Amino acid sequence: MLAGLIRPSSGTIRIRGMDIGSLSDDDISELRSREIGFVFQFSGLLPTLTALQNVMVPTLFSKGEAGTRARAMELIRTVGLSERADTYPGTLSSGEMKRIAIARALINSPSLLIADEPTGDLDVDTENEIMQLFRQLNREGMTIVMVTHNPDLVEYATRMFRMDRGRLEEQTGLHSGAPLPVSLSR
Amino acid sequence: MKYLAYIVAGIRNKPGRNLAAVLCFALIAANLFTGQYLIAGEVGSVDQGVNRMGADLLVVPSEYTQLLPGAGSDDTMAIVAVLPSTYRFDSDILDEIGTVQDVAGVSAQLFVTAVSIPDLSSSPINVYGINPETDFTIRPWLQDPLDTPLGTGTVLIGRDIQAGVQDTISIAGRTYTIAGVLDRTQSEMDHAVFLAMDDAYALASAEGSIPPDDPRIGVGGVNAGLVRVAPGADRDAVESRINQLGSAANVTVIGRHFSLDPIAQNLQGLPGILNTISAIVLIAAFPLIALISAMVAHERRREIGLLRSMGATRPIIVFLVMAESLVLAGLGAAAGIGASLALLSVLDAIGFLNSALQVSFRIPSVAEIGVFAGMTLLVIIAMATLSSVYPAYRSSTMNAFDAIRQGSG
Repeated sequence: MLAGLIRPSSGTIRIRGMDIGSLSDDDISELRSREIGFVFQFSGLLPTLTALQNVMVPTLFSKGEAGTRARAMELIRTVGLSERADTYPGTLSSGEMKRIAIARALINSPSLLIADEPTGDLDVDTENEIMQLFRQLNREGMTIVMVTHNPDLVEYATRMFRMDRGRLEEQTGLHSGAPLPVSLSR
Repeated sequence: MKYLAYIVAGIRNKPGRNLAAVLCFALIAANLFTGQYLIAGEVGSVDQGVNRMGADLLVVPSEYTQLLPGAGSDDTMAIVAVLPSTYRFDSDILDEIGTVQDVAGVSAQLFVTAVSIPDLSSSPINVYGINPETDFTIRPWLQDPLDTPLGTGTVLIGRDIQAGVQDTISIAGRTYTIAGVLDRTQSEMDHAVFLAMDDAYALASAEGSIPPDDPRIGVGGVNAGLVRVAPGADRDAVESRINQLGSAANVTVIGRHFSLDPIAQNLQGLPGILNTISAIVLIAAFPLIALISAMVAHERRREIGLLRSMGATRPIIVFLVMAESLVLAGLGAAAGIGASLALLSVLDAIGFLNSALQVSFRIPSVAEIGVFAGMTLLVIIAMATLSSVYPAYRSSTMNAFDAIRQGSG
C-alpha cells in the first residue's frame, strides 16, 4: 500500500507530501521507479540475468537519474559480492541472492526502502553488515520500512510497529531522535 | 534497445517452451513461404511454356506448304521460327493482317542464308532477320534477359553455337556482337543466328552472302509473319479471315492447335489448394500461439509484478510481453523461410519439382523470393501481435501485489 501497489480503501498515503492515492497508475509507477526500493522476502532475481544485470533492471524504468553500471558495481561491492557480479543467480546462495536483491533495491537511490525480511537468509555477520548499511543509508536521508521476525534487529529501529490481528500498533520507548529506521514487527 | 537484454533473458528463461513456440512459428512460416514459392514457380512455368510455344498462326507464301509433311495445319508443332526457304512475300500484307479481328500481334521473319562456321557449330548456321520490336517467339527463349535491346551489329544465337554473350561472330565478312543466347529448343533454332531486320537486309545485299542462284532479297521481303491470336478467340475463325485477306497476295495460313491448356488446367487447382492449406494452418495455429502467449504471461506474473514494483508502467509491460512474442515470431519466421528455401532448392536440384508438377519448374527470381519472405514475415509478425496483445494487456492490468504474492515465477 505504501508503494501504491494496492489502493487504500480509506485514508491517505503521502510520499514527499504527495497523496499517492490521487496519482494515475503510470504516475505511481514513475514514483516507484524514482522514490521507492523494494526488498522482498524472496530474492526475485531473474535467473537468466547476471547479478550485475539484475541490479540494473530498475534502471530500465527510471526516467530520472538512472543508476549506472558503475553504481551497480559499487552497490554489489557494498553488499560484498563484487567477485560474483557476472555470475547467474543459480550459482548464488540464498543469502547472496538476498544481498543482490538489496543492491537492486538501491540502484535508483530511492528515498524510501521497503524491506520484507531482508536478512532472513543471511548469517549473523552478513546480517550485521546489511543492517549497518541500512543505518548508514538512513543517516544519509533514506527512510527504511522493514518487516522482520528477528527481535535482535530492534536495536536498529527508531520506531517499531506491531501488527496484531490486522491492527498496526506503535511500540513506544524506541525513539532516539532524528530520522531513523522504522521496524515493523508482526 | 535498452530492453533487449531483458527480452533475451526472458526468452532464455524457458528454452524448451520457447523453442516449441519458435518451431510453431517456423512451421507456419514454412507453409506460407512454400505455398507462395510453388504458386509463383508454377504460374511462371506455365507462362514461360505458353510464351515459348510461339505463334498461333504462321502466314507464309502458298508454296511454303510444300516444305511441310502433309501440308497444312500441324497439330503438334510449336511455331517459333519459319523453316529456311527462298519463298518470300512483301511484308506490307502483315500490316493489314495486324488489323484483322482477334489478331493480337504479328511479327515478320526472314531467312537470309545458311553459313558454315566449323569453329562455332558442327551444323550449318541459319541466319534469320527478326523485328525486335514485334518479336514474340524468339525472345521468350533467351537464357537471360538482354542488357540492351537487339539492334544494329548485335545478334542472338542458338544454344548449339559455341559462343557466349559479348563474343563476336563473323558472317560473310561482317562482325556481330552476341547480345543473347537462347535456351535449347531441340530444333533448327539451336544452330541459328537472329539479326535485327535492318542488319538482315544489309547482310543480304552484301556480296557473296547468299548463293548466286537464290533469288535476291529485297528490302521488305519476308518469309513469314508469325501471328498471335487474342486470348479466348476462335483460332479457326481468325485463320479464315487472314486467308481471305491473304489470298490476293498469295499467302496462306498454317495453324497450330496444340496448346499447354491441358497442363495449365491440371495445375489450375494448385494455387487454390496451397492457399487453402495455408489458411487452415493459420486458423489452426492462431489459438495455439495465443495459448502459448497466455501461458508465458501466466507463468511470469510474479516477475511482471516485480517489474511493476520496480516502476515498470503498464505500457512497458505490454511492450515487454509483446516484444518477446515478436522476437520468437521473427526467429521462427526466419528459420521457417530458411529451411523452406533450402528444402525447395534441394527438391529442385534433384528434379522433384519438375516431376511432381509436370512442368519445367521456374525458380522464382531473387526479388520474388524477397517479396515472399517479406510477406511471410509480415503475416507471422501480425499473427504474433494479435495473439499476444490480449495476454500482454492482461499482464499489464493485473494486480501487482497479488502477482508478487501468488505468482509462481
